[in-house]
Amino acid sequence: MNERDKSQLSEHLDALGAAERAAAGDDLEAVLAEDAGAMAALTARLDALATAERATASEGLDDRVLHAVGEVFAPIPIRFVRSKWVIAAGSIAAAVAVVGGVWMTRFAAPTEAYDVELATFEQDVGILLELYETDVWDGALAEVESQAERVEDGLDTPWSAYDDVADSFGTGASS
Amino acid sequence: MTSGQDAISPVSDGDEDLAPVLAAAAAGDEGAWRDLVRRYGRRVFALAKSRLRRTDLAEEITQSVFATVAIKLRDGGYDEQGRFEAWLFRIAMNRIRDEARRTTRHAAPVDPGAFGRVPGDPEGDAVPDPSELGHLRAALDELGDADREVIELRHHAEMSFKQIAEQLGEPMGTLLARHHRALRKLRAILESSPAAGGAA
Repeated sequence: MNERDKSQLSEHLDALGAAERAAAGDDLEAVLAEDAGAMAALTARLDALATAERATASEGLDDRVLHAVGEVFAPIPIRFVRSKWVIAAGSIAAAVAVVGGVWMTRFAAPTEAYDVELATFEQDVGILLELYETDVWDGALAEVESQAERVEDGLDTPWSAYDDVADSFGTGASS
Repeated sequence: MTSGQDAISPVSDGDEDLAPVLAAAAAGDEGAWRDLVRRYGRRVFALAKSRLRRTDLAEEITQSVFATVAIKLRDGGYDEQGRFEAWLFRIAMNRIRDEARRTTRHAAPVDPGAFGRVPGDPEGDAVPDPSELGHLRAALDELGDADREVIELRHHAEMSFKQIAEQLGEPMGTLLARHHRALRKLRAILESSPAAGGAA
């Protein structure tokens, strides 16, 4: 309490309760002193209580207050991104992405792999069919038959696989 | 961002040194805000804590009050002609009253640590023991809202009588009389309480 406040309070003591008691016959100076002393003690206790209340604030209060103020002065896009609606929408989008990702991994990916394998198989078959109809294929068969004749004539080592190979294509010398 | 600076006029009533701080704060200067929070943060908190008795609520209100002040300074909503402190605590009191009404309706629990803490006292032995503070808190609770408000603005918010008078829209003499009557009532409550032992 500063001197001005003390002076004003003292004047008021004079004007209120103290004056009432003095009017009832008590000594004015004694009444004033007693009343002022009691009031000073009470105001000291109230100040102590206020100090105690301030001391109960947590250590990080100032930083949290400054953070709240900082949010006010943050650039608008940042404030927008930090708004609860945007955060909620982002959370929903993230959840959808996670669920969709799991679904793709569990169900969509095998189908896609199967499609790739089927395409590869069809491609391989197509190459075989095309090869079967070319001169390369015919030349290869001719080579096989030539080799076989040489084995039969004893001009070369036996090629036991010849008949199997020729039969598998239906064009072997034995067919 | 700096539109609030136009609303900061030369100040009076003890706020002289605040003018450049408020101008910088209106522009979002962090140092200025640190200064304002250092000056007023704990006083707003103590005011809220005294009325609501909950540390978490008091801290939430303190943040909310400063955020409101920041918005108004940023947007040029401060035009109190050098009465920043009174303006700040008017915002705080409105927020505290709203919260008090809300918590009364919902019967919020009392902070269990409120009565057991030993206060930090930078000046040594001037602070009574916690039980004595507890009785003082209980006595404050028995006061009417109007009496309690004057005492809390004076002691917890540390406002001058002149600032309180301006905030409440009362002549200085009336305000002083109110404060004195509130103290007398508080004294009477304390003296009638067996636990207080006439300590006042």
